[in-house]
Amino acid sequence: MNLKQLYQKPIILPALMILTYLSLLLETIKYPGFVGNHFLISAKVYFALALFLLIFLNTGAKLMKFVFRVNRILLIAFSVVYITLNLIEGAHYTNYVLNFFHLHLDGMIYLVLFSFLVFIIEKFKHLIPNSVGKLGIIYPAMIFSLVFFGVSNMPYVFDMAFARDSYIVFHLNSSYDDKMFYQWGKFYRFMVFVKNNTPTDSTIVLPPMEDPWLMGSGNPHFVRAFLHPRKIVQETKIISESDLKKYGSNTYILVTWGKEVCKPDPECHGWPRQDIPAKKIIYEEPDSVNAAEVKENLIYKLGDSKYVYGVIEL
Amino acid sequence: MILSTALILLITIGIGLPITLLLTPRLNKLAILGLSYLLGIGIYTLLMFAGNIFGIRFSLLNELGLLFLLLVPLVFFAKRRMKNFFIEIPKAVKNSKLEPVEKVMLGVLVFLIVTSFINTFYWPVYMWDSIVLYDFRGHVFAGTGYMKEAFIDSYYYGYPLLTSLAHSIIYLAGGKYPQFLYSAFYLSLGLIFYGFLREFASWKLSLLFSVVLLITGPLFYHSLFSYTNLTFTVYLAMGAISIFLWDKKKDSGYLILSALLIGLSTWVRSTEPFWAAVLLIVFLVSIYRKKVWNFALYSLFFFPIREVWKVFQNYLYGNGASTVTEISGYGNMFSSIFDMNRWGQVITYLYKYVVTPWGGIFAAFVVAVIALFLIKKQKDLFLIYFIVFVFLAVLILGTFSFSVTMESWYAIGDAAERLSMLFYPLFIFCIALVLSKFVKIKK
Repeated sequence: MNLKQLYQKPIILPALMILTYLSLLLETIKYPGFVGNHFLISAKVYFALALFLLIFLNTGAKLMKFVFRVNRILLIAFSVVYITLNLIEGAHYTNYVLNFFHLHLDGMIYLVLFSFLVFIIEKFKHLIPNSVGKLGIIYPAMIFSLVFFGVSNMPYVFDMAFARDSYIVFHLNSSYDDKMFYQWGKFYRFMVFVKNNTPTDSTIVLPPMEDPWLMGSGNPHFVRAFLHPRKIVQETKIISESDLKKYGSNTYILVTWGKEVCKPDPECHGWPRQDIPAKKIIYEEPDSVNAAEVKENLIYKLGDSKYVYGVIEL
Repeated sequence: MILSTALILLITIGIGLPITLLLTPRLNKLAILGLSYLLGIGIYTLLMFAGNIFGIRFSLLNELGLLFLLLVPLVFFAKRRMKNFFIEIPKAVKNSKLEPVEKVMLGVLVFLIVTSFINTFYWPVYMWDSIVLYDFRGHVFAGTGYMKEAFIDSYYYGYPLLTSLAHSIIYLAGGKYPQFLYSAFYLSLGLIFYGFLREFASWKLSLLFSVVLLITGPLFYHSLFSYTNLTFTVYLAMGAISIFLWDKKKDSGYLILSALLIGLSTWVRSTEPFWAAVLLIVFLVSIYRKKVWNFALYSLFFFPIREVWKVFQNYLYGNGASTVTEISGYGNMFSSIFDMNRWGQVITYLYKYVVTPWGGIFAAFVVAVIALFLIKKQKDLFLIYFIVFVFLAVLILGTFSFSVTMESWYAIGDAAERLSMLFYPLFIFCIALVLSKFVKIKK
């Protein structure tokens, strides 16, 4: 029996479809990529191969008609479950479904799309030519490449679309600040706090651009984007005496703990790391843009307050 | 948001549409709509920039004045074509009878495009590069009325200004969410791609391959936030395909269209030398067709757009390179050209960050090249494949040059991945053309 005859066996296609369903189901429960990691061949390959054979093989057998009927039921079932779980995730937080239901939504989308694409091919198979002239294997090779490209891209795109839409549905009333906080977390609140507590013509002094401030309060371009038109000045880990004297009265030094990993932890965190005579120190209340504590006419010392973010007015 | 959206629509219909209709009146209507957005926003931002250099402050009133100054003569010159266009569009919609398979494909497209717009109308600018550079400049331009406040150091004038000025338009009109501009670029990509393909293939096949294009992960992802890669891809890829249309249709309108699109691609990102590849191709085609004036015509529209930014950037840098010295600068890499070890690293890098993400579409493109010879259509489709191969050569040589000049080149693979996005429309266009020939063979 040659390969072509083998493929034409009525059991091959239903068996491959069941194998694909099981692989995708397994990946929904374990994690996307699980089948490829443990059984050599990725579930995406089964997915693409099943669609490819559906296009090129005869699907008129009774068994296939039964498979298509089951597939239609599965399409409805998977779609309803996937959309419901996505909405639940959107109403709560990222990975909520994974935490509570132990299901990977980015794996489940493959099940939905597989059943959807099987349904589409079932309906429109007659529109796709089975072979082209004397091209032999070239035409099927091109179709397989295109199917594989679709299988690699569609789940990513549709999962992203559903996840993002579901989030938006449940957060329609979020303000600009809520949205920016969602994206940038505490750093955004700190920037709003600094903005609220410094004049627009002031000078803001930043820690050096190194861990633990590298991608946050120590990055002058990043900080400037939030605090413009304030003048941004970068300092070294220990500010020289001459620099301190040089700064005018409208200067504010950031008090910042830093968010990146550094060594030795936690001693490497916290800035400024020296005593600084201050006109005023305003500390930020954690998880808020409000001031938690205001101290006037004193010497700033690292670790003097339980608060770790704020501004020192010179 | 209503005012800023209306302003963008006005720029598209008032500037982009008449220019497109004057250049390519017989092109597919959907492609004309897509091109109207690209040309409208590109040319308008270029004039905003020029106006500001001559002292015209960025303000809503000034920008509206500039808009009407352009809009009135353009609409006057193209009024008959515009009238016909607006009469034909509803007719075409009314007469179109969709088959079920076409409804499914349209449904997929509508879902993706609407999702993209929902997201970009909802989210403010939040991605790092955009917050720090592209959107920051847009904010400062709109806030201060001038550009110099934003050019604090060379970091801020490393990239051209199309997207930043487009953000400024939104902020000047009172908007806070400029990212919908990128959904519009995504939509335009789909419309133009469909329209260009429709010139050679059936409506069903064109629609199918537009779906293939818009379900491409990186393209959809980049439509959701404000990086320059998608915008660059749309201008460059559509500009390159316009060259193919010019040669096939023997219509200079497409040549000028290409010059404008490629020129505007350098108004989005100026460091990647793909524009030079298109220039070379236009030169070769002009020589081959014995119509050298075509090259002059292309240069006439391309260079003013490119040079405006280059001259300004060089002025800010205090020195810098002209286009000629820039091209000759690429010659510096020739001393390392026989370094086989480096070539090995470059090939590994490109395989990992470019070919692997392309995946199936690159395989399909390779198969399409073989098929092209089997069906003996290599002469018919030679130019579009030649364009893609020249672009691939630029990518390989550009990466090689990058590896010579930049020590940490190997560490920023995601930049190469983002840049290689521009090949998706080109690969898919080539594959679709070959498949359209298959269908004819079948018949």
